[in-house]
Amino acid sequence: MLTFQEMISASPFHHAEIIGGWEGNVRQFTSMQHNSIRLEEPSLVLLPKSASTVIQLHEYLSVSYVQGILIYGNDDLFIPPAASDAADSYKKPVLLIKDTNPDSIIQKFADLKQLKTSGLFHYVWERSTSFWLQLINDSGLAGVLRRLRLILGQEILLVNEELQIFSLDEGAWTSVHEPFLKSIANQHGPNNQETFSLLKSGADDYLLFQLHSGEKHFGYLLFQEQPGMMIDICIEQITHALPAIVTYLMKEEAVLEAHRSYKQHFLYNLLYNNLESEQGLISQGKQWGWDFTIPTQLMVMRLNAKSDIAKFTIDIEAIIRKIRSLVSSAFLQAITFPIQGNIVIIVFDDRDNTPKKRKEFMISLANKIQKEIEFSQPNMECHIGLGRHYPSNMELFRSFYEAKVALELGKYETKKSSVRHFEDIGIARLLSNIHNDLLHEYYEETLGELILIDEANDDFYLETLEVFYYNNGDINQTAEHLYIHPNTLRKRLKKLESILNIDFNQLDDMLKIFVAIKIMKMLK
Amino acid sequence: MKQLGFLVHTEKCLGCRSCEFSCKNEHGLEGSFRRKIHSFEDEENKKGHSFHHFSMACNHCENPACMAACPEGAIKKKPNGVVIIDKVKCSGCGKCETTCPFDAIKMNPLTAKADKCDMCYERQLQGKPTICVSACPVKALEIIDINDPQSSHYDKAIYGFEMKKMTNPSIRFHKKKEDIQQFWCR
Repeated sequence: MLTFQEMISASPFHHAEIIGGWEGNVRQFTSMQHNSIRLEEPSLVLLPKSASTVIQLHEYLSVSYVQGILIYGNDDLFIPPAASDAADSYKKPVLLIKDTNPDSIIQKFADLKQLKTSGLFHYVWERSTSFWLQLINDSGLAGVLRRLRLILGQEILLVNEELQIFSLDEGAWTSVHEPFLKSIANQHGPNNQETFSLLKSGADDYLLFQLHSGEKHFGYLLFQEQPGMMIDICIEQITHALPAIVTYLMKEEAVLEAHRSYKQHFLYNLLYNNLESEQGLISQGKQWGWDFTIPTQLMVMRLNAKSDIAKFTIDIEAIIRKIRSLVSSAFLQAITFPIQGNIVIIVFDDRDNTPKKRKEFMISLANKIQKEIEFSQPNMECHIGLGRHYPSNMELFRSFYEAKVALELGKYETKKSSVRHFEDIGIARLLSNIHNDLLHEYYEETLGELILIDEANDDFYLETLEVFYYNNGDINQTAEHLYIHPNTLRKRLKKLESILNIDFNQLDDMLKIFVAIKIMKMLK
Repeated sequence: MKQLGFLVHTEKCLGCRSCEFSCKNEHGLEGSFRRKIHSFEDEENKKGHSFHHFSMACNHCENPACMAACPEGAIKKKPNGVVIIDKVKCSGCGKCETTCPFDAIKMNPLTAKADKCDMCYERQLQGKPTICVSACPVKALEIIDINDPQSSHYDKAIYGFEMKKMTNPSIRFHKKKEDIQQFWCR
């Protein structure tokens, strides 16, 4: 005795199109009769694909020994919906197969029956894997899921590791907020290496198949157990379709990885001047949906853990998602990606702005990003450096360098700010390109004597000088800062003037000391 | 991404200048060197070594100042981290020479164009080691991937040499710590 559910798993029947009546897939039959209505036992009737078959279909289905009908042939014939309705009403499956030789079909059926009687039906299941592999190659993941849904006669869910469901309509993964999926994934447990498990959710029973290859886990295949279902056959069918699905997911992941690597490569080339022409930049950018004909602005973000925090992990992906949403809330598109421990944000700014307005806008956007990131990551300090805007996107590498310089030199600014534009870092910009030997020499010559006096007498002239400059030369503020009387400070400044051989009323002298202090901070 | 850089074993370097001359011969330079040996007094000169030497050329910085300074966009950084000068695009303005904090770029008097170590790019394409590495008689020079976690224990700076950190130079130093040798005699 064979059932339709079993038969459809074997070659050549697994290619059969189900016209209707699949609700009766549990019907059993012992023989296959060709073009005959006089039956002595439950049988499957084999009919040629012709107009007369379509007309007689109702009559055949009404015979009690007829368990179902298999139409064969490759003719181009329209089968009306009435035929499907008739099959559904009798709950007798009507299948269509493209094979044209009835004798070979009967022989195949006899072989199947023999295998079933001898207890060797597992060979049929094993061979069905190659069918699923072929189907996934021809019609993709959606094709396999549709076929599985059809032969199981119910909805089947494919869920990936991120608990996104594969949508058959869209042919893509979609995120759904389904607590049920989470509870099912938790019940199953990530270390469970069983092929499938039976799970309960309320009064319903579910079968959960794990998609994995070795240690790599891809997700789950899930369906609900229905009353009257031939659960053993369903399990066999799904188990043998799993390798095809896993192979497909592995292939898809490899493609995604290659795509990611090309993208990373392209962005590296963009930031390190490795692209040959603007045309090449525009055409390559188009592959990822970036329009490099639009002017861009670049910023570099650095995240530092606050000193009092012990080791913890940062979710870079979550931070990048946050930045993207902040940029898109300003109605702008951006490329955000991590590189060399920093996060680079390339913002496409198509508005016709003057350079000054563009700079102001970018600083305000950077400030917004910086505040939001620090708010969402209270353990982190966020610093952003901005490069200058260049008319050609081919020069983004300059902007990248400038943004990093702004980020680095921002540390030595008197007034601390978490967002720094390259144009605003002042004299430190020039100092960054001078050899350390020369810088060292300069600051030793200017402040060396003062440092020696401080060390010898345990004094704090250097600190006084730094605070004096920090307060923009304001006597009262500096005195307040140092907790001394203004007159004491005046006296100390006079002493400083004599040691350094300068006059604080001369701008040249003021600048000389200012630069020396800045160099000292940079070198330290 | 890779970042190739030079690893200098300072305890091994003899200061023999083999690297300097092999580089000069390989690249057909006249009167100028791409690589230079630096000699400094040792940090603990009680051990008998009063000097240490190390060889330095272009450091193929992670953040190359020369690249941003070049008005022609002739300097690029390859995906393996090597910084090279496109001789066709170079106009010989010399801005890169003044910007480099390591004095690694020199104007070639013959071509009037900027010249610097390209980590023997052509040789590397043929699968050969750089000429300086193969010429060193004591194997004091090596090429490593700076981003490889196995390279993280090497020193970024060396005593006695002011290293500009702004550009994040891809050079590492390895000073072998000698174990104390003990002998027991009967």
